[in-house]
Amino acid sequence: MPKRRRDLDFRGNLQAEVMSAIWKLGEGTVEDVRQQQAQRRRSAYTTIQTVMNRLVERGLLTRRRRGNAYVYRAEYDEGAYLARTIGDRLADASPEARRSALVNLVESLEPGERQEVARYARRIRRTRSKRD
Amino acid sequence: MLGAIIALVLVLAIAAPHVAPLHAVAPRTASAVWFFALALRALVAIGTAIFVFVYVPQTEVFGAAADWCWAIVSHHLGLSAHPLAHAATVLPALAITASLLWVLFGLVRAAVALRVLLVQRSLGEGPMGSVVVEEDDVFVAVTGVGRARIVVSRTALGAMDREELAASVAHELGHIRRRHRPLLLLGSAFTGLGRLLPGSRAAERELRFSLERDADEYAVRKTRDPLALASAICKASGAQAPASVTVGLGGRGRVTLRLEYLVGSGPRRGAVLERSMRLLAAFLAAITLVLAAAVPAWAVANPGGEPGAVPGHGCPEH
Repeated sequence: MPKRRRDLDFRGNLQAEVMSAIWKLGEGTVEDVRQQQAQRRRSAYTTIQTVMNRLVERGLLTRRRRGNAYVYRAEYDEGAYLARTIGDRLADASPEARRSALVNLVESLEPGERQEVARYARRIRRTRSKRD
Repeated sequence: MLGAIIALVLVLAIAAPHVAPLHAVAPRTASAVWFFALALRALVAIGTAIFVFVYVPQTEVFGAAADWCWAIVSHHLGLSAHPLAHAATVLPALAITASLLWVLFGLVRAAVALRVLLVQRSLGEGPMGSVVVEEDDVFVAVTGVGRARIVVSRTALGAMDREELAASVAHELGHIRRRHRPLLLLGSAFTGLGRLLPGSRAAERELRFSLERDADEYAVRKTRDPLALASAICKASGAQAPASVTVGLGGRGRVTLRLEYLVGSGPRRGAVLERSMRLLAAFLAAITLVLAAAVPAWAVANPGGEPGAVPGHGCPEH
C-alpha cells in the first residue's frame, strides 16, 4: 500500500503536465500530448514518450495499440487523484514534521477513544438542540 | 559531589511535569511548563554529548576500559586505538545532531509539500479569511510553517453548521494569535535533540495538548459558544478512520479531555495549584536559562585538555 501511495506522486513538472493533458483529452497519443503544450516550449517526441512510458510503469497511465501508435489513458481520474487526503500526501514526513507543518483541530483519537467521543457527540447534540 | 547534586536537580526538574497535575491548571501555565521541560531535555542531551566528548575520555575508568577493549580490537583487526576512541566519544553528539537534522529536514519537506498541495487544491476564500481546499475529510487546520493560513476542507463546510465553523476557525486563529506556531516548531526541534532521553515524545504530546486547550479557550472567549466548538471537534474526530481492533473498548484520551473542559465537566482549577504550577514553570525556565549559559562555558573551559583526548598513560599504540 505505501508503494502505491508513493507511485501516485508526480516527480516532475513534465509528468504533471502530461497527466494534465491526458485528463483533458480523455485519451491520446504522444503526439496529442505534445500538441497540448505551448509551441515555443514543446518537448521532443522522445522526451514525452519516455515520460509517458514511465507513467505506464508506475500505473498512472495504461496504453493500448492503435495502428502504429500507442494510445494512452489515465488510470485514475483527476478527481480521484485530488480526493486523496492531505494527510496521505504528508505521510512520508516524520510524525513531528507532519504535526508541526499542519496543526489540525483534532489530530487523532487514542485507542478506544472513539466510543467516548461518540457519547459526547450525542450529549452535545441534545444540549444544543434544546438550547435552539 | 556538586556534579551529583546538579544531576539530581536536573532529573527531578525533568520528571516533575510528568507527575504534576497539569491538566487541572490553565493551559498557558501547562504549556509553559512543558515547553521549558522540553528545552531542558534538549540542553541535558547536548550537555551529555559534550560531557562524553570532552570529559569522559579524561577519566581513569575510560582509560582502563579503552585499554582493555582496544587491545582486543587492535590485536584482531590491526587498528590503531586512538581513532576508535575519538570516534566512540563523538557518537552521542553525532546522534543528536542527526536527530535534529532529521526533524528539520522533515519540516522543510512537509512545508514544501503543503505549499504545493494548497496551491493544487485551493478552491477559494472561506469563512474568516480561511482557504477552502478540496479534501474528503472534515478538516480544519492552520499551517505550522511559513505564512500562517487557516485551511478548511470543502467537506467541513458541508458538515459543520455556522456556529461550529466559526468556533473551529476561531480555534485555529487562537493558534496564530497566541503564537503557538513557533512554540510547536521549537518543541519539535527540542524533541529531536532530546529524543534519546525517555519521555521526550510524551512531553511533546503534552505540550501540543496544552496548546490545543489554549486555542480552545481563545475560541470560546471569542465565540462564547463552547458547545459549538465541542460539536465541531466531535465531527472532525468522527471523520477519521475507525480505531481498528480497539473500537468498543471505550477510553479517555486527549480529545475526550478537551470535550470535558468544553462541556464544563473537566477538572476544577484551584488557585493554590495554579500558583504552584506557575512556580514550577518559573523554576524550569530559570534552570533552562542557567544551563543554556553554563553548557557552552563548561565545554570551553575543558579543564582536562584536548576534546576527546584519550589518556595517554595506558592506551596502546600500533
